[in-house]
Amino acid sequence: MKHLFLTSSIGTPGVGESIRAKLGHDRPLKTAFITTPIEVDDMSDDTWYQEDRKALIDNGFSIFDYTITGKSESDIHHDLNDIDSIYVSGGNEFYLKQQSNKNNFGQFVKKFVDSGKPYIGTSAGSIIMAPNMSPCLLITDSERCPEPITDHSGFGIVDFLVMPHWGSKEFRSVYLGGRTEKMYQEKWKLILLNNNEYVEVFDDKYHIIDVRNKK
Amino acid sequence: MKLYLTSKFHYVAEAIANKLNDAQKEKVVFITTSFKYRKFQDSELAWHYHNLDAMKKYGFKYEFYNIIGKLNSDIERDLAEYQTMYVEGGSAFFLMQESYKNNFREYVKKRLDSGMVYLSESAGSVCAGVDIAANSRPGKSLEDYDLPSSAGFGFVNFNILPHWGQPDKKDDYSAYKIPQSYKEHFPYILLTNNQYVEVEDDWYKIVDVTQE
Repeated sequence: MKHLFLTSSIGTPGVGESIRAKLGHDRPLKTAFITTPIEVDDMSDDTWYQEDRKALIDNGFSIFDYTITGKSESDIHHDLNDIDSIYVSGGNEFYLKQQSNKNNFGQFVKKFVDSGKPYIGTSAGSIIMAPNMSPCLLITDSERCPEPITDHSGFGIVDFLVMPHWGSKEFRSVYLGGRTEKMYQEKWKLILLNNNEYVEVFDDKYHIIDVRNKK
Repeated sequence: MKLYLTSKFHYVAEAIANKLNDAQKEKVVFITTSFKYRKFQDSELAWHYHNLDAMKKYGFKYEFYNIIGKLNSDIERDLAEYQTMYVEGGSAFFLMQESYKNNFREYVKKRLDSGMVYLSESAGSVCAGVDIAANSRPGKSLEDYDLPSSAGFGFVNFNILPHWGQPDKKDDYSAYKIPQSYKEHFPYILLTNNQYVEVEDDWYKIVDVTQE
């Protein structure tokens, strides 16, 4: 049984609350907050990141920061062996994949998810679950990654690709300035997700929740 | 509630046929209204004939039905025996306009809740969603029809943008559909011609027949 919550932005009011209601936990869930995607991101304005953290804390996730950078596979298994849930932050999904390739973090996540424990992603943390992330590649991703980006594959834990922040002012120039052009191919299963929505995945089926709607 | 929402039915017909039982394939009402918004030359309807060929090839037995000019009571009486409704492509705006006149939406929703299967292509899939406005382009828009709003049938809680990736639809996407959908209103699924969305109650998945 796999149970995933792929968000654009868990910090958007109502998203964290909705996920909490879905999980129904009555005690804080020990949650690894994977910070790796932000390591090469421009964090001069980290408002979104702080809002994401607050949303988790306010909704019963007992978070501790963890980066996979520089860790071995056995370090990861040792350090994360008793967590209840895993949260992967927004940031740079290609850098996250580069670091994952060094320690099989993707395999760790796959086994974790297969065990039935919840996975929550925001933006890059949602994109990384797809089979392929090619349409998301930006020039700035390449500029910021310390190593050349040669691997566009994701973890492949879901068979679709979430395109996050659809409709937002901040991402308008990204999407209308070239990303949709790259997306216009018959290769992928694409879901356009705005900041008020998330995809809840349950085994091989899913649905999109808009937290502004009651249902 | 079971729906199969396609971009091009004949591309994915075999996969869907394999998921339906004999009774569901043998009692199909084929709603033609979506492409009755203007007169077509036969040569313009190749896509429609491909769909009919696929229906025959994969064991669907269908009868045509047009809701134009029908009363709700006519629809109730005429469609009672069918176990599957196929809604053809054409104009989503025209289909919605005609649906408002006889509460077709309410009838279909009631039937879906009691087990009828909804199968659709393009405009029929767009209408199943929350809102049809993002699919506007010249000649197929809210302004061209007598519609109180851009609401779709609302059988599913997302909108489909069909024929994603098809080369000759790219200009429509660049000029109209992408800018029109770039809002924080609804979720969208970009559906290629090789894909369909399989819906079962509140859950769904995108199936790509080239990846099965």
